[in-house]
This record gives sequence, C-alpha cells and structure tokens, in this order.
Amino acid sequence: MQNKPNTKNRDDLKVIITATALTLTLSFWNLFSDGTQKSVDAASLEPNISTQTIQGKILLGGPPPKTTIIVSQPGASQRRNQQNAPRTVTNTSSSK
Amino acid sequence: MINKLEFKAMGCHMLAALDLPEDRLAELELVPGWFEVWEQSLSRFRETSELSQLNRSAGTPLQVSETLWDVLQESITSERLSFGLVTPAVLDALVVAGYDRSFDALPPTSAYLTPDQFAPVGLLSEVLLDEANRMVCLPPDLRLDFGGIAKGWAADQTTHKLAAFGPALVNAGGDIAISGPQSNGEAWPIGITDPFEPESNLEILMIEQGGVATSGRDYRRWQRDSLWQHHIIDPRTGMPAQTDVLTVTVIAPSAMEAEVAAKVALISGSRAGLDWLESNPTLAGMLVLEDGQRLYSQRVSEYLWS
Repeated sequence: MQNKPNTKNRDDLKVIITATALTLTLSFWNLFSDGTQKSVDAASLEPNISTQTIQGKILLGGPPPKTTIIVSQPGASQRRNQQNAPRTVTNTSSSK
Repeated sequence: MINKLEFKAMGCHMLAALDLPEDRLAELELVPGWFEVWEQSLSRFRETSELSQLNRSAGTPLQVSETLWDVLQESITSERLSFGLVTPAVLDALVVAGYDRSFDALPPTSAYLTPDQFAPVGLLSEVLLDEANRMVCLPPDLRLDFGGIAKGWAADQTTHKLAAFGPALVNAGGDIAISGPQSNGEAWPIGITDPFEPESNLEILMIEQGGVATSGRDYRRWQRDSLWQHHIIDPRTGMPAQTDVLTVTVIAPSAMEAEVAAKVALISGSRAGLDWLESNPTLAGMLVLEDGQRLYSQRVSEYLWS
C-alpha cells in the first residue's frame, strides 16, 4: 500500500512523455508535409497534355520494365513542330 | 546545296537528293534509268519482267539476273529474321484479296469473297536455288511479289551509287535511304506524314545515316464485298493483316531493314510490335493506331526533332 503514490507518479511521467512525443511527431509531420502538399496542388493545376504509362509486369528488385508507351493527344507535337520546325527534305509515308 | 529530282517508278513517287557545292542535276538524272532496269527485273505488274517470267515458270529452273538473285537473297534473310511474317511469297494471296493489277489501275470491285479462298502462304525455304549458276526453281504453288522489299533495296542501292558524288538521300515510295550527314555536318530532316491529315507531319526525324520506312494500311486499300482490304498480307492466314495499327515508321541501318521491320510491327499489332522493336537494338519506331494514338519505342527519342 505504501508504494501506490510512487506508481502514480511514474504513470504521470509516462503520460507526459507520450504526449510530448505525439506533439513533436505531429509538429514535424505538419512542417514537412506542408511543402509537398503545395507542389502537388500546383502540378494538378497544369493542363494534362500527355500521359506516360509503364507497360508490363513491375517486379520489385528486378530489372526495370523495357517498354515505355507514350500516349499523345493527336496534334500535340504537330502544334510544337509548326512553331520552329526545320524544312523537311522529304517525307515518309506508306507507299504512294 | 541540296539538289532534288522527282520521278515515278515502281508504281510510286520517287525522290533522289544530292548535296553538292553547286546547282547540278547531271548525276541525279542517272537515277530514273537505274530504276527502269530494276523495275524490268523485279516488277510483278510487267508481263515481260524477269519476275513475271520466273512466276510463270514455276516448277522449272530458270537462270536469273544478278539483281533478282540479290533481292531474292535479301528476301530470304528478311523472311528468316521476321519469323516468316515478311515474305515475297504472297502474290497469290494478294490476287485473291483483289490486288491483281497496279494500284493506280485497281477498280472498285464487288466480287464475292469467301474465307476459304484464303490460305497460309508458302515459304522461300521451298524454293530451290543453285548459287553457282544463279538458277531458281519455284515450287508449282508459289509465286513471288517483292513489293516493298524491292523498293527498300532500290533506295539502298541508289544511295550507295550516289554517295560517290556527295551526301545523298533517296526516297522510294516512303522507303528512305541516307548515305551520311549533309555537307554541313547536319542530319537530314525527314517528316513522318500524318495518315489522318496527309498534308501535315506527325513528327520530324533527324537522320544522319541509314534508313527510314513507313508501312501502313491507310493508302493502298480497296473495297471488296463492302469490306476494306489492304496490301499487307499476314502470311500465317494469307489474308490482309488484322491489326490495330494503322501505320508504322521504323528507323534502321538500311531502308530495306526499316521496310521489313515496319511490316513486322504492323502485322504483329501494337503491343507485340512495339515489344519486338524494343528488343532489337538497331531499330527505333513509332506506331500510329486506328484511334490516332501514337506509340513510341524508347530509342526513337534519339531521332525526334524537338
């Protein structure tokens, strides 16, 4: 029965340490996650002209997938080409 | 200065370009004559051509010219490297599909066509060859159409001959061969025609040396029984290839290799075709699908103008 006050003091100390640790964790979390959140928001505002997806099976620890498929909106690169394109000598197309 | 000469041959539009210090066409004016000689040997549309004689003499050995022998050897190599997907042994299949005369003379037709008229085509391994005497004997049920292989071969040959005068480029109906960089050291800018808007370029390639070719089912096609047919035969079925790819453009060490690779990718379909291009370190390419999407192999970025 005489040990009871000491036990209570130890429990109070544990609560204080836990609360401090939680507070610090949440503070750092907010501090570092803030910048990332801002950049994601900025990126989401940019127009989505093309998307890049990786085809094939992704094996963790294995070799990277070989094939990259770039899906472009028709005319996207054409608009780019028209601005400052070199004059072509000739064209390739299916036999004409 | 880039001098250019345009002319018609092999049923296609041709262009030869030579980079010379002055404005001069004398060397380029030799080119149509070379094509005339090759066409007389390799065309299946000329009754008097050497190829037509060979096709008529199936079952009987015939001595052939150096030109036909060379193209036949290249075709055998192409057939082997493409696992049989690109072969000149498709003439009968093309005729069944309705491509029985030059494309310019092809009329609209409504002849009844049944699936049992199509059959897998034969292989060049069935052809008997005597190298010492350049003798060729086709099996009775096998006839040849060199098609794009002949155009790619002719582009490579012409470029090789013109390179004696200066940096050269030859475009044989979309199959392009390049001897080396221009005199100023720059690569040659080559447009990839948009199959949906033929007056526009989808991309511009910068090529210093080698070959570029496009294979597609966007132009040489016709209707039969209200169904669209096209000239790229899948040898496994003997029918025009069933594929989600509309056109394929390939960059390779030579025009003929580019032509063969483009056909393989087109017949194989988008997924297998792109994987096949990726697996060949000497190839790079772009596929245009029916819905307008474009798929690029990784190496093609080395050649894209940007």
